[in-house]
Amino acid sequence: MDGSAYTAGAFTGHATNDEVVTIYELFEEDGKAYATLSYQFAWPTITDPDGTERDYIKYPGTCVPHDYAGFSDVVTGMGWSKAGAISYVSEPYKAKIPVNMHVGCMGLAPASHDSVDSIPPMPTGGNLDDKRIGKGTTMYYPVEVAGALLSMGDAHMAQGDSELDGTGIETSITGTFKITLIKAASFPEPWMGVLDFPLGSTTDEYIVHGFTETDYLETYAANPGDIYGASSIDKAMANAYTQTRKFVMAAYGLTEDEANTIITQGIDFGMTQLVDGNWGVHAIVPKAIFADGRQGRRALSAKPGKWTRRKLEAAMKATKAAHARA
Amino acid sequence: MDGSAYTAGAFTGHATNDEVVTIYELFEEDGKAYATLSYQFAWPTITDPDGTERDYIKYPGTCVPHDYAGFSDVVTGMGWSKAGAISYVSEPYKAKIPVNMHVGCMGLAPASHDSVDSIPPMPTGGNLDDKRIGKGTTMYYPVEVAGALLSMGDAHMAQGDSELDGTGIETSITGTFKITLIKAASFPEPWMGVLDFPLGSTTDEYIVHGFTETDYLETYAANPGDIYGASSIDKAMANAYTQTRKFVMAAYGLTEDEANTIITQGIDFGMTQLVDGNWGVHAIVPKAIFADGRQGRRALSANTARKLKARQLETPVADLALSKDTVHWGFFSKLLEPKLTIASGETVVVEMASHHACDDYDKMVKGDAGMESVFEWSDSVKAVSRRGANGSGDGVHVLTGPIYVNGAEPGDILSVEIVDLAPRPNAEGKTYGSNAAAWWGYQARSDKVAGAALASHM
Repeated sequence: MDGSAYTAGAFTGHATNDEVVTIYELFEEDGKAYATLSYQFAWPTITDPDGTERDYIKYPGTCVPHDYAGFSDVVTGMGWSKAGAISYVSEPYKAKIPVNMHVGCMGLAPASHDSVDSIPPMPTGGNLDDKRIGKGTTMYYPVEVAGALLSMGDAHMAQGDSELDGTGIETSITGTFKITLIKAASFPEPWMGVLDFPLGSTTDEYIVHGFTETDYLETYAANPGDIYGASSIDKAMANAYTQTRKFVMAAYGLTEDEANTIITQGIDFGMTQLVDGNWGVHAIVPKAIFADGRQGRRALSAKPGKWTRRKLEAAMKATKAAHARA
Repeated sequence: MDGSAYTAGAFTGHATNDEVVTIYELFEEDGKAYATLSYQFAWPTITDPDGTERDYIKYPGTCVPHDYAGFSDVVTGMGWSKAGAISYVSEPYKAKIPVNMHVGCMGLAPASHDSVDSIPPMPTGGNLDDKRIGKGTTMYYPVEVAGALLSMGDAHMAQGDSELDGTGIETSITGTFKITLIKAASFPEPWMGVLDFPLGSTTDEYIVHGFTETDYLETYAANPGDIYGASSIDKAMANAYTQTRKFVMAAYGLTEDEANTIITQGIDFGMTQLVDGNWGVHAIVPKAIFADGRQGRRALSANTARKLKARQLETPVADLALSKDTVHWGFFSKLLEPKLTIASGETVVVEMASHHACDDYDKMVKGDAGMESVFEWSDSVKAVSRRGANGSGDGVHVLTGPIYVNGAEPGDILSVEIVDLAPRPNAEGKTYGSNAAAWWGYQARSDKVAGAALASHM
């Protein structure tokens, strides 16, 4: 790209709406894929081919008629125009973000409404925006309508937990999916009978998804859009906890008291996304901590092994030395 | 331990306060250390040697006069007694928790008060309860009093992020610490001048700690205990964000716009603890993403076009290719006509379009027939005219599908295994993505560094 139309450093003519778009470019180093910042621009006021102004990035698909040298006239030819020149940063900081392709929005059609907004996540999945929903992960969705009606889109090159500024590195991808129907009459796993949220599973972990409202389509049945004014991490965390408790009790046959202490010591809670109205908190359930849990484990510690002996000897030595000093 | 005094399974005589203690035991397997549940008991009502009842585990140091066979009479001899027999679970589920020893409470004496409660974390550290504060981590604390006055304790064998039920696996340990003073007159790192929170650092990461109140001793100066009634994850997250933004801007010389997009793509936020009054949210800052960030990185991708073209050839033929006819825009609906019907167990290849592709049409749409079909819109044609749930709204996600699975009925579960995800290079063999620091982003809820808030559009 020719940088002649750009200013280096901070924006000079920042638009009043203060929305900044960063274009990322994929690159490769030592056989690994990364994304780095290519350039940034401040969102201009744009008029679409039908004559409507698009002040903010709230109408995806809006085409930006760029000013930079070499940009074609296709977008202008389609009928898009803008109010003034676009302010660019041509040489942004070249952060090196490891590529972690994932599917931001994948799920099944819900039964409760004829059509629903694709932004807030729901029991049948949808816009979870969890960076773990990538290659090697299997998602389990409760089916609510005949045929399940699976759709997917909103791919990201990468994203951190929270999707802080509103979007991941939005990109287009081709995915390969293996799709398996599990009939209610013969669920092979005990947790399947209590699944009322989209569950992720990898070789090593289950991923439990909690939201501000477990089923916002039920809570706000008449006006589902009300969820946008009710976003709360505190409520999402409370739901992530109760869903995780229910899941591990069902999956491993735990009592509630066992579930609480094991969740506390072995399970991490993190921010999934804080931008999709129905905010998400996830729990990472490592499968290994539940290996053979109903077997006696005490036999394993009958004799202290190398690790324990080394630690204990060092500790005893330190304690003795302290006593000697005193 | 003799299990004769125990009941297996759930507690029979659960105390009204419902507090359950789990004793863990360390064990070893294949050279790695784990903790597993040894036994559980319900907290009884205990009377201390001075005659005061201790109903809850709120007075640590209370000694439990146990009933189980083999327990010595030392505790009873010291003068501790209890109201009734203790209810035990002798064979709890033997979870295998990887040992991750860390120091729950370590920090410096604050200047603002003569003495402060050790529970809520503060700018000089204290009870962070972050499981990352273990071997290999260096903590940086701002010094507020002469001599710094460092103390530590509250060790844990392990803990998950959130410390959900109130305590980690509390244990006693011996630690070895290397302590270095960094004088303000000669701070070697630019972030040191803005440090007003306890920062963690490992070989690979910085750990930024945000709290419900960055300095609860200032917010609740007269009654610091008021923090217990004000706990909030939402506020802790807002502070974790602004502290992280400040830290990466200072550490790497970023603009605010660079900081926001890089935080969004590369930094994870998680629950540290939700139990210490001043609740904590942390940010994990991977150091590698900032390596050589002011150097041109474009040279590194000189080879990319060729490699990606080679990769493109390997992309399988799509079962659902992108076009205006295979997508629906901004909604899910049970009324949509299926675009593909499959049997359970099939593997399908699906192309997915980014709804942000027109942020730069030339780089992400032009020359790609599928993408051009989806995004065609002129004064005479709007290829995908229905956008949003009610057809007139501002629909967001371009979704490919729906895929109808034969035999699926309400109550079943659909499993979708992601076998592969491949980028969609443009006609030049390059792949781009777009990130919008948008008006609905979390960053828009905080004041900008310069002072003006974005929130006016919300």
